[in-house]
Amino acid sequence: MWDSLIITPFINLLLWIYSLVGNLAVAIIIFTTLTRVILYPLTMKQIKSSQAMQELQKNPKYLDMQKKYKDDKERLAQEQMALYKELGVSPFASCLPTLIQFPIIIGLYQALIQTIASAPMDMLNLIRHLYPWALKVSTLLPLNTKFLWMDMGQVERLNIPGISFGIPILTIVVVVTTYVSTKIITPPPQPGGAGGTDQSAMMTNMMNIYMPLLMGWLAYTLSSGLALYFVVTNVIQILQYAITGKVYWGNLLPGNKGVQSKQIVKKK
Amino acid sequence: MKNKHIIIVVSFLLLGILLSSCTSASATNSWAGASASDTAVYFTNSTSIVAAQTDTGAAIWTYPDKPAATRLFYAAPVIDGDQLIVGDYSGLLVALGIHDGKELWQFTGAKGRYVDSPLVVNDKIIAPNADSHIYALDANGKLLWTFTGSHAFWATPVSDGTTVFAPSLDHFLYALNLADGTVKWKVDLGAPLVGRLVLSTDGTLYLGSLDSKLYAVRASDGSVLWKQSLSGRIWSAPVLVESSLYIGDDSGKINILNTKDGSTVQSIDLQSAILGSGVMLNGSIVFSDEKGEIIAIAKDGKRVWTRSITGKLYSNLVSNKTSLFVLPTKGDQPLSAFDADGNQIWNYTVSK
Repeated sequence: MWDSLIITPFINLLLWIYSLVGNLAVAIIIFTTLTRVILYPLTMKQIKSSQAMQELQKNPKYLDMQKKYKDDKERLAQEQMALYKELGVSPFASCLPTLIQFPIIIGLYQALIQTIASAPMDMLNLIRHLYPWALKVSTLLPLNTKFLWMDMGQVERLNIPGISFGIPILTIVVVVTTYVSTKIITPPPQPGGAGGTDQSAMMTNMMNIYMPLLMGWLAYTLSSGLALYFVVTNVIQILQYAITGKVYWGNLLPGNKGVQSKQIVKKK
Repeated sequence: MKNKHIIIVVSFLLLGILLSSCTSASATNSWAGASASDTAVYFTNSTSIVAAQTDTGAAIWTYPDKPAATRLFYAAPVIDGDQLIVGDYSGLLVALGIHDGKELWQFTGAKGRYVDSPLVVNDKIIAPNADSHIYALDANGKLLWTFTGSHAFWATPVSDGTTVFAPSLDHFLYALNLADGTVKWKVDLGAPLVGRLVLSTDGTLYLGSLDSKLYAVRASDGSVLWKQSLSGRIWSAPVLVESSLYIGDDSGKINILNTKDGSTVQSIDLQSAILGSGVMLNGSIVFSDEKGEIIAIAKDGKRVWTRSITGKLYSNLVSNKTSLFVLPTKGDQPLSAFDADGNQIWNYTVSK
């Protein structure tokens, strides 16, 4: 069911794009961009909802109730729900688009893995996924997996003469773009505010550190086709956030802490 | 606060493991290989090479001492005198002492996977690699020459003693000088060539392609003598017996063809994909299929016996003339041995 509804159509779409452009890396870039464009309305809904939640955390009423009911969690929850209702904000509104997107993104990821068939069993599975009326094995395979210095089916390293080890350029790009994409959506901490010193801020900071490391580790160990997918996804995500106009580029500047640093917040 | 920190770190580690495990298209991404002598069978078992006695299946040795997930073995080991040559998916080709499994030398020059076995001919080791190269080594692992194709080499070449014939995923069949690796000729067969080939004594090469065609190619100049369309894709070499070719395809048919013109003499439908090569055993030709059946047919195509085992049978069947060795994928055990009448002699059991 999962295979026939998600994986197989994705593989065929990716390879159909490949049949037009003749390069797997270019096909991955187009395919990822295309799916992200299709998912754009859902993504925007999710971004706007989470931004509304961030705005809400600066609301004086919200800040007051944090102090007032800090020792009564149950009451605090009730008051928060009442405030959500009053302001027309749903804490779950950002979850639903994510939940809808999740199977598509996982399917995209799995389709990519299966397309980069670099061993006989993978090739057998790939061929069995192809729609014979749309794609012909003899003209399609083997895939042209070379792109710049990379092979989409292999882990990526740039070998420079004189250096005894390969430099994982794509891994570095994945780490940087993941860091940027997570950092620019994090509002700077407000002194004395709910987002300033509390545990959620700490969690966010840790996410900002661990997420790029996790993605970097995956990019370092997995085939470069997947690392390229991570990069394209991150870049599109950054662009999508930028379109909303609420990105905190100032977070990327060194030593930028709280309101004492200049924030570059573009407002609509 | 410290506990939350630990929870986040653990969560990320779990997420990393989960995503990494999702990245393998299948848990096993190839099928095992084996070779056999009168006394021992040598086979790949994912992260190790095992030598087992042919009569009892008792393990003689395993390699390496400490198996690592980064070193996966699928290509069948090749017997070369007192050494066993085997390549792995990390790009390492090693020679092992045939009696004790001790490592004798390593060749680290390849960047890709060894999907199939090297060919040993005239004291040269011809190793096809998925990094688009064929590496020629001497018996001590010293590099003699390298040939660069335009895509991966997944199948063991054959040789007549002066020329190496190597099929590639790039659709070409290459003929290379054994002495220096220079190209004598190459011919485009129109589709990826993933399976092995056979060379007849009259100088004809027979091989199949992923667009379901079987070819006869003149070894001296690369001219295509005939081609025959089959109902399924061809993943392995035909078995050449007198003037007939016996070849399975992934539509589930065993095809018997005339070597002269490729005409189909008979087609036997097993209704399950046949990916591995068949093998001659006691006058019969034995094939195996994806649903786990092993079928012996006589030269005239009549079934002699059929057996069934647990697992999918993709690997080339192996015989030492008296026994048949079968390597199931996702089976209960990695290797089963049968006698010439199809009676199971033993299963290799992995000690826990």
